[in-house]
Formats: sequence, structure tokens, C-alpha cells
Amino acid sequence: MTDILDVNNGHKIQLEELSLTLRLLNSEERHHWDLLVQTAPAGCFMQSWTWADFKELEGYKTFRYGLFYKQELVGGCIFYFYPHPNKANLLVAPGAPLLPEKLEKEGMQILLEEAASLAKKIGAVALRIEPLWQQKLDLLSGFMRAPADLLPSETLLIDLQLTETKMLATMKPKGRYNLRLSWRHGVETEFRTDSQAIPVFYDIFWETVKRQQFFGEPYKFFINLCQTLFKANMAELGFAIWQGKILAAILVVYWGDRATYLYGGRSFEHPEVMATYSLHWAAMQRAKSRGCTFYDFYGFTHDPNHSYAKFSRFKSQFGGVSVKTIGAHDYFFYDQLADTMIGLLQHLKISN
Amino acid sequence: MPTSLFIEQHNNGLAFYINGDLQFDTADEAIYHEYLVIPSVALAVKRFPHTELQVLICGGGDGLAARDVLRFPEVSHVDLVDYNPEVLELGKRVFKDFNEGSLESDRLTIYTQEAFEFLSTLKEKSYHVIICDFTYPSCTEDTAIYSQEWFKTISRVLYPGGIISTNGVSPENRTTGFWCLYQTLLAAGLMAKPLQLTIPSFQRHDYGNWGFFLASPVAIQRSEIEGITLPENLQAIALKNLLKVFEFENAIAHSRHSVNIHTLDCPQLFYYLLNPHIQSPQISEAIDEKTINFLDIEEAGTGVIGLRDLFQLESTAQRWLEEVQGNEIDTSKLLPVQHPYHNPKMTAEWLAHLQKLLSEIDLSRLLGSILERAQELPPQIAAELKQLSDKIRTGQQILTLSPRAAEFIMMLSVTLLMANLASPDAVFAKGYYSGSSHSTGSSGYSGGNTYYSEGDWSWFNRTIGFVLTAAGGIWLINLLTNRSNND
Repeated sequence: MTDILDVNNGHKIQLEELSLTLRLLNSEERHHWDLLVQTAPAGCFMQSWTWADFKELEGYKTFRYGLFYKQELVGGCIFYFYPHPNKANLLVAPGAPLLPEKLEKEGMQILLEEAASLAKKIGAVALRIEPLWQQKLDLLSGFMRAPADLLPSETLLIDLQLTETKMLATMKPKGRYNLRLSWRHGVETEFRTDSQAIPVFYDIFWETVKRQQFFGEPYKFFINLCQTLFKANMAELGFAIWQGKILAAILVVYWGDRATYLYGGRSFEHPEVMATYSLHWAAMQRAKSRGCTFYDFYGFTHDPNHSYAKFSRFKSQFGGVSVKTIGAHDYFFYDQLADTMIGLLQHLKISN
Repeated sequence: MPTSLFIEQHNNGLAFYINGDLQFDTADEAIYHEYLVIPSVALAVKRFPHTELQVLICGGGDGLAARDVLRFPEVSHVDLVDYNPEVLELGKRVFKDFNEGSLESDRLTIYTQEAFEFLSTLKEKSYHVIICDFTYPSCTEDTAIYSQEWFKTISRVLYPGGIISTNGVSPENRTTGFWCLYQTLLAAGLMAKPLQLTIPSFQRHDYGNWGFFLASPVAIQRSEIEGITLPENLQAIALKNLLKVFEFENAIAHSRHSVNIHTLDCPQLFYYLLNPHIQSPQISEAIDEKTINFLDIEEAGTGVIGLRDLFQLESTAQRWLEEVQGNEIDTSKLLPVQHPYHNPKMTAEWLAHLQKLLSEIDLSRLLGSILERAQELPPQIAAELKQLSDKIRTGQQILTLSPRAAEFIMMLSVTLLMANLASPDAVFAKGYYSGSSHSTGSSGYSGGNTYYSEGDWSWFNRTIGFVLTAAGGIWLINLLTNRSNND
């Protein structure tokens, strides 16, 4: 077992020797933090300052920690916590932590110690992280694979550095055909960041939710999400329009070198004009013009029995490379879990 | 908690949202505000003839309730207390055409303050009418202004015979929450009359019909309502319709006796709002009629303070223990909805993950941590957990599990499930399907990312059987033991 597992026993390594320190970030440091997350190889929009602001609107508490090496911000983690009046809760960190090169283990150790201390104060029995790593590093040996992920652990990335001709060439023939068909039909696209676009988007999103019978976030979620992200120039709503009617809508989040297609919907009407093909193609070109190098379809599977197999077949028409990350991992704070269990055993009328 | 404000522009008006919840749509806000305001003030005019009426509006920073209060020349002064200066600013500026400049009336004084705090500073008998126009609660903390303590506070500053009007929740979609408010008003010593309306814009958002309460320390009689005088130029209320809104289907009304009241010490309301169909055992009531008009009956409160805060882990764990004795398992009671985006379908999903959740736990280590504090436990429990720990440590096969050890595993299962349900922020569980549409439409395809696969209920039933039966659970302990030994 690594030193990390000693967190629950109160073991302290000599962190002073490493000159790595941890503290809460203040609002003046948001740009430093965002720059770090944007440029980190595994940086995720869910670790952006703006996303944390959005989650606060959704009722979450956020704890924004920076790791400093000799006064320089080199890593950290935004922890999210949904307050609940019981002692069974989780601290979660999607797309995190961000660890400094060559000091990964030590950075993780400090963050875990802080998380353990935080968990004790707020009543969380475990930390759930989901770094966008493609391999589980030894420093996560104390973590167990969680049953559910915070982000899709397999996704499809389109390389936006290719020329348009090469991008078209890497598409599947059927995808290319549908895209050209969509162009021939004269499907137009429009991208908006005004708040009045939110209800337009939501109407088509909700139509889709009802038809597909999947979980769909309520309108209030998109009001909070879009208003917060629009202000930070971090997202756009894209619409595919044909003969004056909106046939498809998507929400794209821009973060670092990646544009992520986060939500979308399509009208049942006029499937023959292939509106979604024009829309995603336009979104890719738009992302490219904003300096993004990847278009992330945010969720993909090769498994034909998977619940998003159908969506994946559509996404795969654009070519791209599927990438798997390690998924969510849980680290239990055993002292805290023991405390919760003792509380239950003390107060419940269990067998005599 | 930060607040988000959103104004959706229409061709002929606007809709206003606070934290994503619709507050009003100018297309039909008159229905809401007139029913909230007009009956209470009109009744006060009747009860306090030849009196300059003093009115308090709690919330209502949009100025729309104030507009309708100011329709009455008998009202000499209105105090309006709203904690949100941004909403008040919108009320003075953006909503001015709709509220007819009510917030700038010289008959009105604005206080930018928390309502509870504001009222605690007031002397007794300050108002003839108090109107509560609050936003829908989005967390337990938001429900303080619906508590018994709150209603007692507003009763204190009300003249004897004064009228309270408060918005409620949907009797249709949030049935137990609605009756919890009713019983809380009754328990605060108020005679309460529930009423319900259909508001099209609320219906479009799947909020269901909408409920209000008219209340007073002095019983409100049908004859009084029949005798009120309505102001001219109302858009929504006619006397004939007003008498009908107090009528409820018995299918909705009969559950009013099976809810607890909501207090600051034992908050129940938010639990009911998230779990609208979970009820305590029914108090039998002869039902002859299909509907009941609350103007025709006078009721005393039957709600009591809850024995448990139903959101607490201990309450849920106690339910699991009690289910051992029962024959039927009600999963909605075992794992109530914990979060506004949590849905019972997600519970099924997490129950299907129970094996995996338990396999994450290093039981040997957990028992070690617990036994370090063995003196805090009842001796028999500590002894049996010690035995279990020894068996795991020495790699002994566990063929039987003592009842207490099995219950310990059950408690662990509850804890892990509750932890995940309290924070349903996972890929498959980012939202919920029902009850939140924005408008109607056709159907379509999504490349979006909300995923859900049906939970395996047969697996669940088998699992629950194992977990709840003391002699069962062996597979769990073996699972946990194997996990510990493999580390």
C-alpha cells in the first residue's frame, strides 16, 4: 500500500520537504486556475471556475483548491458536494485531480488529506474522482473503480487539425453521403449565445427526451447552465434550420483545445434532410476557428447492446478515434465511514 | 446560495424564472396573483369595515401581488419584504408595465430583508392581511418560511380576525407536500382553507395545478366568501369561480390526514416535495362523495410533529430494519428520493449496483476502524463484530451470519446507497424524465448524453430479500471477505 492509504490513520509525510502546498483559491486566481486546467493534458471543463459557479447555482458547495510549488500554481482540484442532512454523502471531483508533473504522488497525497479533512467536516464517506487519464496510475492504488461514472469514460474525438478535405475523407461513406445530402437540401446552421436561445433549444431537447424516454435535465438546469457558460464565452447553442423550421439543436462547450458536444436533440420531422449532419459539421468548423483541436462527441461505445449504441452509430459516421479513460474511482474515508456506522449501531433498534 | 434570474421574452410579454423555476408568465399571471391576493383582502375589507387596512407582502418582489393589493382603496399602506434586491429592481424597471408601477406607489414601503428576520422585529397586531408569495423551495433551508414557527410568527403580527394568504405547491403533483402545509397551518392555530387552480403556463411546465391557502385565526365561513365584494376590472376571478376553487377530489383530499406537520426542528416539507406519493398509513375515512368543498367543512388539525427527520440516514436505516418484520417491501420508502434530480428509476439503477458498491469496501479495514472504538458500541454488537472481523482476518469460511452482523451489512448497504443517491451526479443520472417540460412538441432523436437503462427489478427483489433476511446476506459477507483477502 502506498502512503496515500495512510490518510485515514493520520499519517503525515514530510510535505514541507517537497515545497508543495495546498490552499483554497480566491476569486482573483480564477484566470490562473482556468489557464492551468485549459492547458493540462487531462484538463476538463467540469474543473473550470465557471462550471463550479454553475454547480453552485444548482445547490452544490464547491471547494476550489490549488496546489502550489514555490508560489506557482501547478495543480489542484475543485471538489463538489451536494449538502444533505445526513452522514452518508460523497465528495465528487469530475475531471480531476490535476497533478503537477513529477510530483503527482505527493500532490495526490496532499489533496487526499485535504479531502479527508473536508469529508469529516461535511459528512462525506468517500471521494469520487474521475481524472481523464487513459491509464490508472499507481498513485490511485487506494481507489476502487466506482459503479457509475461522472463523465462518459469512453468517447469519440474528431481531429480538427485536419483539413476539411481530410476530415471528409476520414468520415464513413454513409456519413459523408448524409452530410452532402444535408447540404444539398440547404440545411442552414446558426449558433447563438443569447439567453432567448435557451427555450428554443429546450423545446427540441425535451421533444427528444420524451420520445427516447431517457433522463433529461429540467428546463431550470439549462437556464442555469447556459446563462453561466454564455457569460464566460464557454458555450454555444447550435441550431439546424430547414425551410424556417428548427430541426436539430446542440449545446457545445468550449474548453482548452476541446469542443464538447454536451447535449442535443432532433425533431422527428424531416429526417430525410439529415439536419444533424450539417449541424455537427458546422459545429466542428466553428470549434476549429476558435482554436480547438478536438471535437468531443462526449460518450461512445462499440458495444451494440449498450444504452447509447444507437447514438454511437450516428457519431461514428464522422470518423474520429474512440478514447477510453479510466472512469470514476472511489476512495473511502474509513474513519468517517466507521463514524457513520457507529452512529447507526448506537441509535437503531437492532436485534437483541 | 447564489440566485439565477431569467427572463424569457414572448411576442406579447415575458416569463420570469428564479433559479430556473417559473415565477410568472405575463400571459396568465393574473390568475395566480388575483387568487393569491383578492380573496384575502376582500375578506379583510368585510371583516374590518371602515378601517384603513395594513397589508404585508412577504416575497413578491416582482410587484404583481402589490398591484392587486393596491386595487383596494381600503388599503392604506402596504409593506413588502423581499430579500432579493435584483428581483425588486426588475420589479421597478422591467416588470413595471405589468405591475402598473406598484413598487413606486406612495402607499407601499419596501424592505430588502429576509422575511423571517423582518417579522421577528415587528410588534403584535400590525397587519390585517399578510400575503406570502414565496418561490418554490429548492432545498430544506428554503422551507423555513413554510414551518409551523413561521405561521405562528405571522399570526403574532396579524390582527385577530386578520387574513393570511399563502401560495402552496401543486395538490396534484405534490400531494403530500400540499397537505403537509395544510396541517402545518392548522397546527399553528390557523383555520385554513385550501384552494386550487389551473394556470396554463404552470401546466405547460408540468408543475400540475397550483394550490394556495386562505387562513385566519378566526374560521372562514362560506357565507363570508359569498358576501365579499370584488374590485372591478379583474381578469381572472369571478365570485362564482371563487367558490369552486375550494373543491377537491376526494382522491386528492383524503390523504390530508396522513401527513406530518413541518417544523424547524423536524422539517418534513422538502421530503414530501421530493417524495409526493409516500404516505404514512391512511387514517380510515368514510368517503361518500367524490369531491369535498373545504368551504363546507371546519377541520381541526390531525398532523403531528414527525418522529423522524425523514432525510436522515438513521430514519432510512430504521425503515430497513422494520421492513425485516414486514412482508411487503416498499422500495420508495426504503430509498426515498434525496435530491431534486433524483428519480425513483435511478434508485433502481443504484440498487442494481449494490453488489459493486459493497465490493468497493475493505470490510476488514472498516471493522478495524469500528472496533477501535468498540467501547462506544453496545457490548453484544461489539462482540459479534469482533467475531466477524476475526473470521475475515483468519480467512475462515463464513457459513452463517449472526443477526446483528447481517444487520450491520444491511446498514452498510443503506449507507452506500444513500451516499450515492444524495449526489446523483453521474452520467446516467444527470436528470429526470417526468415533471419538467418547458413546452409540448413532437418527438425526435438525440445525440445527447443522458443515459438510462432499466434497473433489474428481479435482481433487486432477490437482493433485498438477502439483505433484509438475517440468515441471508452470506453472499454479501463472502463478497466482502473476498475483497478484503484479495487486497
